[in-house]
Amino acid sequence: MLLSLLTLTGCGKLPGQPNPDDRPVRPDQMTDFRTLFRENCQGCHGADGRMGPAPPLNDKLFLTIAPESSLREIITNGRHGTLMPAFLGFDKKQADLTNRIQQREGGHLTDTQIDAIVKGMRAEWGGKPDVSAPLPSYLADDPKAKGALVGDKDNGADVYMMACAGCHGDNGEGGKRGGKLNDPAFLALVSDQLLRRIVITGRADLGMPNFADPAPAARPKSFAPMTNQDVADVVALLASWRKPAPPAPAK
Amino acid sequence: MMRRWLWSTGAWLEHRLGLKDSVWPMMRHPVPRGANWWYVFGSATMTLLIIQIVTGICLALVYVPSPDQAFESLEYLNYHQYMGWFLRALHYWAATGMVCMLFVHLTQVFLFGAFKYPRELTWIVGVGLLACTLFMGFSGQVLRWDQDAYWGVGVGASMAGRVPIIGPQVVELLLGGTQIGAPTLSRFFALHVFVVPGLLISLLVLHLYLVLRKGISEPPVPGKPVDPKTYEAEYEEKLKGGEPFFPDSMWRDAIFSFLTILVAVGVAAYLGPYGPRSVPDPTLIQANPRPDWYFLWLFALLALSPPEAETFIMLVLPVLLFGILIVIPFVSNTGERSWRRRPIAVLSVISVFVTFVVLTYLGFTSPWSPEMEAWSATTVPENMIQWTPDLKKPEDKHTLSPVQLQGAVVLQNKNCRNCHALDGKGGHRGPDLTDVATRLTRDELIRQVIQGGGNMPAYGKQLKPAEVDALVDFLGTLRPKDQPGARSSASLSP
Ligand code: HEC
Ligand code: HEC
Ligand code: HEC
Repeated sequence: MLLSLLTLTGCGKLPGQPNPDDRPVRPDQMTDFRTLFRENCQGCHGADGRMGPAPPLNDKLFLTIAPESSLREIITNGRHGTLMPAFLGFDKKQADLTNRIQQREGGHLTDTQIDAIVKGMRAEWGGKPDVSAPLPSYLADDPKAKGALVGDKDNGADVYMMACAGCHGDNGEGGKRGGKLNDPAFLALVSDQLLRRIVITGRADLGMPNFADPAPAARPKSFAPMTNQDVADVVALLASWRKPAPPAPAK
Repeated sequence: MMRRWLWSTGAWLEHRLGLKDSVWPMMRHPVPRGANWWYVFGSATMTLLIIQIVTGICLALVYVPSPDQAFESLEYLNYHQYMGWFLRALHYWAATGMVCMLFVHLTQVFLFGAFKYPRELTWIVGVGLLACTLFMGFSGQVLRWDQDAYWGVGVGASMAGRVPIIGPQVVELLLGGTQIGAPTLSRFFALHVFVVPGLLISLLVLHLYLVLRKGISEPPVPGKPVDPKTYEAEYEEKLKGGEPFFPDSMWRDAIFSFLTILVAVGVAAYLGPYGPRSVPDPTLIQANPRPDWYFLWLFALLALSPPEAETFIMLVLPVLLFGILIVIPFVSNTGERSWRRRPIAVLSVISVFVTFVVLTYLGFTSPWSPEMEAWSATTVPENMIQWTPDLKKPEDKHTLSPVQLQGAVVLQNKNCRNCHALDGKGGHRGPDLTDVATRLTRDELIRQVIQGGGNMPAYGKQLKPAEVDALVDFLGTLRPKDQPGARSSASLSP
């Protein structure tokens, strides 16, 4: 047996021989996009970047309009006032092993890892979106946009009736095809930037059409792709539905 | 010519060593007839110890006991040194085997009543060997210097720290300071490589000496109690009809030890070395340190007991357990030896064994530890985001409303998933929430979230009102999609 074992090692590999690929990697040295996304993002953004409760990132239109700097910025610092946490910071001070159960804000990624995620999203999920209309800008204060993009909620109401009411109800009360938008808790938790982005990209994973999709079942024949200004106007309308502070829940 | 030379060298050595008069009679000493396969575990334990010594010496040639190089030297062994991985594997698996074999040996000796008069001291020395062996396992796992090492050091330190009066000094001696640091590893290395093995081998010599001196106990016969007045004379009588240890009895030991080696080698070759599980850096919070399997029971016990019990478990329990083992031969050193007539002995073996298995299983699955990565890594099942209530109408899809989607994000963002699973995925410290809306109404959900309760922290201060609303809206959808919620008061999906 011992002899045959020795001869075995001469010819081939024993099953127990460790594979260098399995050796542990310091979590802050890991730069594989899929692993990083799996460990840090998919809980909210969904496996493969879609079908999660947070907005889908696996979306060609989104990745085309969103500048790399914006992506890097939001992953690094989170988005203040929303549930998107900041991910920069390998905080050595949190090392206390006994207190690890406690809350911690956000994640612990390095600049290099954030860069790997940004590049990885574009490489894996990017591409030319299937839209011929001119693309609205991702940010409302996009420097490339001509003139300041200030939304007008009255105009927004017209756009809303055309583009949204078919699903979300005339007053945002929700309908059979789309949920309630005029909801104080919802509006308190999301940023205008998210609203803007959803109006532009829709939610392809959940069946909400994008800014240019005629969606015949829900939008009138006269629907034309929304312009940059239209988008800003609808967002202004939704923002105007926000209540100053939603009432505290009953105890 | 050659033969003559060998012969004369042999004679020269024999003249000086005198083995014929010392070792030979030892080998040929008579043992009682009927000593059978139950008697092989002690020698198998010793065989494994020899493997440990040989592989351990080889490992020590490469291993560097300094925090910044220990890990690298293990990687060197694993991937660069020819058969280095196999050495590590064999050292680990033979250690595992040795602990197992030792407990089997102990159980056998206990059930056969072999600890009774006149072999009490043999048993007590054996208990010392047990302590040494367990400490070797304990300190060996520290030398791996990965995240798991911190469990060992941490528990070791807090055990030592609770010793009355001299506790702090003992901790400092063990850790080489007041905290885990560079000297800690050298201390454990010295203990694992010099101090405890030295002690272990000395005790083993004493143990063997006692075994030879008092003879191997004859297999017990029910109804033949031990009586110190007559036992030794009867034993002498039995030996007259006995057989020589070598070769009549030793072949069993030899075969079994050989099989043991084969198994250890085979398992090592097949399963390979264990760990290092993660890189050594105490500041990495992702780690989830846990001990090697034979200490998982302690891990489980510590995790499951209230904090007030910790001092008892750390300080009193080990003293108590070893105390009991040492006292056993004094409490019952006469009387029946056969386990058939000792129901209490059999019952206690069974209950110890069952406790050990249950606690080890719990330690293995550790349902109490939150899954630290679940909040960001464990997805919300897709059929809770969008589902088809009626399979016959696949186009009729129901989707969470925007606020419910945010509620699911709150569940992730506030680390609820670290303790709560959805569809079985996530932590298991709290109940699985897949069907929570069938159990709790909206008001009850709000109360649970805000006030916590049981082992759940209160979230009242950490959640904005809008977050509570969204969260509870989402939780209200968590029920089988064809069943109403609890008292239907939860607001439901579109
Ligand atoms: C705890 C849940 C959560 C986790 C984990 C999370 N996100 Fe987010 N993310 C959100 C939410 C919620 C938003 C929308 C915020 C808002 O209202 O503007 C968001 C927004 C974003 C956006 C902007 C999308 C847009 O439409 O403008 C990007 C990019 C993003 N996340 C990337 C990531 C990446 C990359 C990771 C992993 C490193 C990650 N997120 C992890 C919840 C999360
Ligand atoms: C074809 C129907 C449809 C149309 C038209 C539509 N939506 Fe939606 N919308 C949906 C669906 C489906 C969802 C997924 C959530 C749900 O079921 O409510 C959604 C979700 C949303 C969300 C939440 C997204 C998130 O990730 O939390 C917002 C905000 C939204 N829609 C705004 C709008 C606005 C503004 C318009 C008009 C520009 C619009 N929708 C047009 C169907 C539609
Ligand atoms: C530290 C672990 C932990 C965290 C974090 C945690 N819970 Fe709990 N949760 C528990 C435990 C343990 C129970 C069982 C309490 C009891 O026995 O009364 C529980 C019970 C519950 C229940 C009642 C379940 C039932 O079936 O009766 C709900 C609902 C709940 N938690 C929601 C949440 C939400 C929402 C969050 C995040 C805001 C959260 N929990 C965070 C541990 C936790």
